[in-house]
Amino acid sequence: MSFTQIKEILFREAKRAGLTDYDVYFRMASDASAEALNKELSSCTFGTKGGVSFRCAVNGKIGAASSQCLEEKELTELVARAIANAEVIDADEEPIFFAGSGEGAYRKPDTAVPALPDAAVLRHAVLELQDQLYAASDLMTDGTTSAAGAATVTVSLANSKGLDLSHSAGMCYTYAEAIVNDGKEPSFGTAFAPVIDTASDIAKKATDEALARLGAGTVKTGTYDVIFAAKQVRSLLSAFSGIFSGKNALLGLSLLAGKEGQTVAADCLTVVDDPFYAENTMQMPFDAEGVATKEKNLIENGVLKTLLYDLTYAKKAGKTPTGNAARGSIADPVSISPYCLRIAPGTDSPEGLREKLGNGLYITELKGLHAGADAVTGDFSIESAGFLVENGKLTKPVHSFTVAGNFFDLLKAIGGVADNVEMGLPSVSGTAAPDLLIKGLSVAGE
Amino acid sequence: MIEKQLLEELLGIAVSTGADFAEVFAEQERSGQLRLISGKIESVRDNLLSGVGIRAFVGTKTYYASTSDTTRAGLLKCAAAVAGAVGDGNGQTTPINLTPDPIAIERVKHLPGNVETKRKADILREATDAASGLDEKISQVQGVYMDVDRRFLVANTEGLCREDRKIRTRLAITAVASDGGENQSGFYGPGGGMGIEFFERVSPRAAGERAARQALTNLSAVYCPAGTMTVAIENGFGGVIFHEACGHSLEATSVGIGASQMAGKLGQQIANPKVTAIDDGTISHGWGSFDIDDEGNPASRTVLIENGILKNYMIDRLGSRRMGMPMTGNSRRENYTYEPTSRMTNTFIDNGPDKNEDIIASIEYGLYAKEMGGGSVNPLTGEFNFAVKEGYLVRNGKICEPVRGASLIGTGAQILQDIDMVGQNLATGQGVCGSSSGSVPTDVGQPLIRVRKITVGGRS
Repeated sequence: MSFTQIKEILFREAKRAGLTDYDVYFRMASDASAEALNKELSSCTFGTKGGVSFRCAVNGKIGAASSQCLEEKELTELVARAIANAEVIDADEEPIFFAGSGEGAYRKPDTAVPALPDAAVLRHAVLELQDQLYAASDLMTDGTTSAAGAATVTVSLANSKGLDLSHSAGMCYTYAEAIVNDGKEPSFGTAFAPVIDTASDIAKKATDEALARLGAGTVKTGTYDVIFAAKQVRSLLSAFSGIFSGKNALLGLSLLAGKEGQTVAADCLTVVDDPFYAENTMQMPFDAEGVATKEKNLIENGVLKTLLYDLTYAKKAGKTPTGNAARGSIADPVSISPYCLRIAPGTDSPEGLREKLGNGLYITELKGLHAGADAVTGDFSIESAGFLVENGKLTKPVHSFTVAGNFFDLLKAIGGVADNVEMGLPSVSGTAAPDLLIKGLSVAGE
Repeated sequence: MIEKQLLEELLGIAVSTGADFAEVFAEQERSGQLRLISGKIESVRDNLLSGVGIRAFVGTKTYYASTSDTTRAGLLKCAAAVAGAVGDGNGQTTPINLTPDPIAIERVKHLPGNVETKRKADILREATDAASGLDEKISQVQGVYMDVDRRFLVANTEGLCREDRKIRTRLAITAVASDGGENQSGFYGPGGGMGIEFFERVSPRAAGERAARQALTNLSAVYCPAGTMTVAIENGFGGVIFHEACGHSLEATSVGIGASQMAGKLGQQIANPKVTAIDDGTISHGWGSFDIDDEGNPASRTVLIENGILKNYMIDRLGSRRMGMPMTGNSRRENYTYEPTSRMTNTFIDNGPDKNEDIIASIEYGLYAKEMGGGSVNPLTGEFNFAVKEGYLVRNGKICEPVRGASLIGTGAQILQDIDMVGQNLATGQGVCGSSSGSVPTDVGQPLIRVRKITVGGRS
């Protein structure tokens, strides 16, 4: 069933039920991917899933219900379910349905939506990557994986105020995971590229990373200056992204509450929320409530400029909506989330930043951030691996230690920002960051 | 859910181009979620998930397609996508004969759909009110009441055709304690394989208070010191240590491709002789229990480690083909959009020979980890980490002041040898485990244990 047909049924039922304020949110996603292991194709998968959510205002409360089953009977019931669900809500959140940001306010992303590849294209890509991986080192061993895939998504939103928006985006990728074993221990390395093209150097990158990690030693417990590699800065940024939510701030769940206009970080740090970051193909011109999205600085030269708001919490906080209403899935209520959260590049090269560090640790792996990082308190204690830096040079691999600190303190202890901004896989809500030098973190090792 | 004739047709198409096995998985799941914050119910989630996944095997190669379009046309397209990926067909479909095989499904007292939402809201409010009311330093409480009614069907070219229905209910309370400038949090999330009658077993009030008490303890705690020390880990969710340090490395997902530190070690002494570990998907109304797994095999009880000796792995159909070993009823997936793989169910270290009081008394200086958070592992190297949510320093055999912000790290192979005392108060805790086939409910468990030596990540 098309969005137009779904909308017609739901609008008809809404009117029949006497509703005046409601919206219909529809998402259709498709993906294709393949994986190879031990020089052979191991799996090939295709998926298509669509779903719709209906929200309405009943006596000043919001009710919602969602379904992946798009048959007329189920859609008809959806309206009744949403009305019934509104009855148990008692939060004093005034339902707001948005008429639109106005003609021309919605930027048209210039990124193309890729066609999903067929099995032959995927098979060729993953097997070619396997060949490249096994050719890259004699130490390559079982478990070495390559993958390729693509995904597309269409989001449509229409409401009783006349809003009717639709947008499609897509991404593709290749991925290599090298597992090497020197007879003493296994080691691994990973790399990806946002293309389905085996001419990229990801097999070599993954292999180099795995080889460099072999023979890792331990570090002594103590306080160290460290550099987090770009990829790990992205992980940290993602784990703590909730601190920028205007809702969390109002509910006492973010220590950035009330700090707009104040210095919260070292002056070398600028953090941007960017729905249109050029390297990200998954760009979104409108948010889950229909507000036009825009690029904005969250932290500018260390000063907190704004938090992120949807319509409801912007009104509560007396701020302007920032276009950051999000829905994790069609089933999830509206929440607040960044788009591509990125740290602006600094002036040092990664090598220059290591020279600035002198002696310390270069962290290339952080594990278990979902458990070891607490966005409410800012505390983190994270299993880490990386390299010892001596006199500005990487000397030997180290692992099995933790790095601990507090994210709010860490923001103020940034001693340098490199110029190598790296983006993760394209995603509506992604991250991009360079290497960061942090002074004085607690390390637990031997 | 899908008529037998159509299932047979879909399976026939899926094996028409050279596959040696095919399977259809159809699923309908109704899930509800009430969220409460600042004393008010702010949202109701009410979703119907519905779709089908079709998988074909050629040896150990798998081909999978999934769709939410469950019309006849949608399903035929899905089967054709699988067949097309396998190879070029001769247009001939193989006749398949399914034998519907109704199995005994464990019943619950109250199906979530038959219970008024208001009754669920009352339970949630009882828990969050108890948390808020415990102390004036409790500055925020969030609560979630969730329930799931999952029905699925599995049919395959070996003639298997089975259905299951699982109900799960869980309460999750997060409390924040604040003294103005600083926040600390506490969490408790009990759940079970039953309906609202779960709260005849578990008091919502006690659940709320437990989360709030943990937040208050952490507010009064100092940062945990860093270094290597002896650690006692309490029962219940403490069992996450086995889940991360060893459980994932015993799944065919990693063992079957040789990317596990535990591959090739059957029959070997891999743990201290005091350690016996079990995965049991048959526990009555267990959080991680089911009647059949997502490939249609009955749930089972698998002894993984007995007196320190590795006895078995957790094996799904693909793992069985790769490893040449029988399936163990451990194939799971979050939903039809994922291909299933071997996963844990209710996994725990069994009671051991040591008295709990002797374990604490034996520690001259160390950490008592009363409540654990989540963690992660790399099965290849066995390197794992997990967070301590509530901890205390131990001096001269006595539990002393609370410490916060700690994590524990190590390698599975080493910690299994270093678990040198195993107590007698086995209990389980509920978690949600993430892996390649998505997030699935799993129970972890153990009695109080002592780890001779482990790296504690804290402040130096």
